[in-house]
Amino acid sequence: MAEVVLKNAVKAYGTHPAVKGINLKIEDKSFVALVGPSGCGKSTTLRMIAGLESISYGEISIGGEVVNDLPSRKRGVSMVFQSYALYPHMTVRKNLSFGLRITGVAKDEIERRVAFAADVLELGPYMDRKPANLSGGQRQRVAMGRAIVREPKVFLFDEPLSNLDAKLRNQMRVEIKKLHQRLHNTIVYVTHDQVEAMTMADVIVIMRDGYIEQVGAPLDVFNRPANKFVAGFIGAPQMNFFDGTVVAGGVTINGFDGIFPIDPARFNLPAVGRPVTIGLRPEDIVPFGHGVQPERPVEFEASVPLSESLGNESILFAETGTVSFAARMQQPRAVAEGEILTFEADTGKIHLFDQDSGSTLRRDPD
Amino acid sequence: MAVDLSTLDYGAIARTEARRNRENKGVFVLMMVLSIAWLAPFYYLIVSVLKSPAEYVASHPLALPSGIMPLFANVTDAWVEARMGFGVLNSLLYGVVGAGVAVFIAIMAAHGLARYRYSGRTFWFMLIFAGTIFPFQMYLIPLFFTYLELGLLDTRIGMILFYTAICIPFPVLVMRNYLTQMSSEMDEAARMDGCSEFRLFFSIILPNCKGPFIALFLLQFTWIWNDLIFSTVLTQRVEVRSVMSTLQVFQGAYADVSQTVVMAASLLASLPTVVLFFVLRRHFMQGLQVSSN
Ligand SMILES: Nc1ncnc2c1ncn2[C@@H]1O[C@H](COP(=O)(O)OP(=O)(O)OP(=O)(O)O)[C@@H](O)[C@H]1O
Ligand SMILES: [Mg+2]
Repeated sequence: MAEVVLKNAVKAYGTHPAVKGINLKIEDKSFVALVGPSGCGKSTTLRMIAGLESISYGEISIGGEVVNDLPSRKRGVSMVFQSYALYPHMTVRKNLSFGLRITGVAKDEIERRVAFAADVLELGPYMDRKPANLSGGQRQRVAMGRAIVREPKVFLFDEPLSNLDAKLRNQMRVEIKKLHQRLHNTIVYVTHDQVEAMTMADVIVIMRDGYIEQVGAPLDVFNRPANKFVAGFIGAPQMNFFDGTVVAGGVTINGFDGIFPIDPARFNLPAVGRPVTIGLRPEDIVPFGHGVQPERPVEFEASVPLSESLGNESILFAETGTVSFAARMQQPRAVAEGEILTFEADTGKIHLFDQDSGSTLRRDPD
Repeated sequence: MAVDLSTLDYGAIARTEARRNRENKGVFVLMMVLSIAWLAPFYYLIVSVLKSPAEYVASHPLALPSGIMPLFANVTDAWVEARMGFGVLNSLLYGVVGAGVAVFIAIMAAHGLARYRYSGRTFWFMLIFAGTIFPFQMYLIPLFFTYLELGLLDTRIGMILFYTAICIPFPVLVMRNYLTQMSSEMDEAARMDGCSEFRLFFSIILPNCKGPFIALFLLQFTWIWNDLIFSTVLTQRVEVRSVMSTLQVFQGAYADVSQTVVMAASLLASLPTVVLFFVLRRHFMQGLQVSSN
């Protein structure tokens, strides 16, 4: 049993709170990703769990035991650092076994665990090298090996892949996922890369400015963002946001003629004439004939002054009147600068947010 | 658009390159002159120790020697006349213990100053750092009277204490910079691995300071070895004197020794630091750059 529970956890540096009262329950054996923009307190939260930062207020428990006053070595957690933090003067083998040796684990037990980690991470050929003679990806694996041999209840990762190139990052993403499937430890994984969070985690925690904005399964967070911030943070390219107004039977984008019909069973619509923020993802505004035909489309024309071709798809930056937006073009063709295309917006995929608070207007059971 | 290599004006290219080289040549000549000026005293030393006293007087001081055999007589004379045995042993003792202990203490201090956060750590650093900014001669008189009071004057332990103390501040400065640049995540990893603070220092930090340790040891050893003024003032007995103050028997109105013997003694006295430098050269060069992860 190694669930991690944070109750009103606060971290203050002097008078400046970096983590502002977080409540979070991380289930046993789950893979939880903490995401959020730089400086939002992800690392601080992780380091509080690790025991590398004191807990200013509130309570953190691991496996049912309150750990506020336990030193990190007694918490049953291992951490993989962004810089790997390998011991430069030790060989890979020594790096792996160091923690076990100094805590008095029996010799054959050390050998068994080191051999297991070396096997899982395919470190065999490098065991007698020093970290300076390893590639970035190999160092990364040694860092993970060092975490594995301690057989922790909880693995903590702080942006472990951010020093790798894109290709290696994809590869390591898969390896970490496999590791989780094989070892079944609880994993808390900090990243600012939402692709990593979406693809690896069972649960995503989106943080902003020391608070948690939303907790949920990746698709849940993607399809039902709790507020405008989460909607904008998850998904690339970013969701389009429009200033809109409530009209009879739906909403309209200011400066645009069409009406988007809204099912009042799904949204708490403000009174007619009130402002709302409308959100539509680029893949839900489709150039006619390129991509999925929306079920309930609103059709309109827009010019495309700029497009980015990615090969398998293009991102079109389009304008109509005073409204500009990004759209995703599947089965792409070359688009001339300023070309006018017909777009279909999928009203079924629309997101509505309160203009002041940014909270979603979606009714809970969808 | 590929360059058509057959149509390039190679003459013009060569002239441009040559102009660049000429600028370098000026620098080269300057370097040569400086090198010769720098090497001239060494040349004088080498040719002198290879001459017998009679040959030295007869020939021009910079003339080449006729053989190498007088070297042995000169060296033996120097060693016996000045009783250099004591001096060399004492200086070795002072240098190895003084520099070794000083650099070790400096690394401990720098570890505390660079890798822990507490209020007042800048103050403590400035206090230690202050030890490097005053001229050492300033300490001479107070030190003399204090040592007189404490009975440390003219003792080996007094010399070791003094050399150790005076060799601490500069290494603290260097090591603090070095340790500040070392990843603090490594400490955290070690703590999570179960290290106590002492274990962290001895098993993780200290082994990673090998390079700068050697470099600083070498610098401080050389300083102690070459020190004349403190050794002269704080010691009198030949059994306690360092090698440099031992050489002083050759100076002064009553000294009746050939210049060739003096030179041989100087050569002997400077040999250990030179040897040490060559043995540890590789570490010395690498020592002051921070090894990254
Ligand atoms: N030792 C410290 N002293 C003072 N403030 C700190 C300290 N460490 C972090 N902070 C502040 O706490 C806030 C959260 O920092 P944290 O490192 O948790 O951010 P993060 O979400 O991990 O960001 P990033 O994605 O850039 O790593 C930041 O505003 C940061 O400036
Ligand atoms: Mg961080």
